[in-house]
Amino acid sequence: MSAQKDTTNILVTYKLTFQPDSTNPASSVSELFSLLIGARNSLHISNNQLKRDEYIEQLQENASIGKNLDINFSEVPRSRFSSQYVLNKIDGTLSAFCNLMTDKYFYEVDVPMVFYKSVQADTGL
Amino acid sequence: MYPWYFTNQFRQILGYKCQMAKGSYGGRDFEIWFTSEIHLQDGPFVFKNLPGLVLYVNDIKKHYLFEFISISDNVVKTEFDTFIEGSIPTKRDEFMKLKKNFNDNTVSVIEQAGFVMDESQKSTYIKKREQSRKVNNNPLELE
Repeated sequence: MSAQKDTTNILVTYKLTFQPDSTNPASSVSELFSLLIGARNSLHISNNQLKRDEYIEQLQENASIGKNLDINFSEVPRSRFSSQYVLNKIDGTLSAFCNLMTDKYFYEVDVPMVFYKSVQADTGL
Repeated sequence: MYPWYFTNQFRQILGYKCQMAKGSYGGRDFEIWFTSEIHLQDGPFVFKNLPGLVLYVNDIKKHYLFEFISISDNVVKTEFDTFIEGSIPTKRDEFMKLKKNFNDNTVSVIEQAGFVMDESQKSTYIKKREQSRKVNNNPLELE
């Protein structure tokens, strides 16, 4: 597979609030995410990860034209969620792109099936 | 496959009528609120393919909560990558094993990747890593 792109003018913003320490409710933190919805695909990504990728891309461009690499890591946004999820709306596949150190991986996520049946516990039936 | 089910529960979220679906993923049970008033079968993370946009998701322990903030359909046309160059194809369970191995044996994995650390650096790194793992013990995907 090679690099592929889509375009969007639909942007959905979500806030994720989560508790990194299961024993400490006060550890709760938040992070913003974007869902970019294109004609054929959608991308769900952390806003900080998006900025981080743009920053790294800029550094690589600078390096390729021989510009000095002026890296200030305090300026690079951090995200606890480096995974990105791409939904292919044509064939219905959902791909997860994840990093582990410098290695990049992708795998297909089983998209959950939806059943048009009420949960008995909720209906009391 | 992880089946999700519709419930008969409804509520308004930011003026949209939402219905709740329930399901499990990655070792967590989720409540997923979607609205058929926005005709986009999409949502955050793996919460897709419901008959409308997902506006709110929480796991039942309330450790993870996605909230819809806004939708804009007139943003400047933006290009985005749908594939990250250089990504290695794998399966989810294989990736989870790699991740677990990395978390359990970080120093060895770093050394195997060709990075060199002296004993003092190793000991400092291990200490920091252990402290970090103590307070970051609750990942979104538990399994």
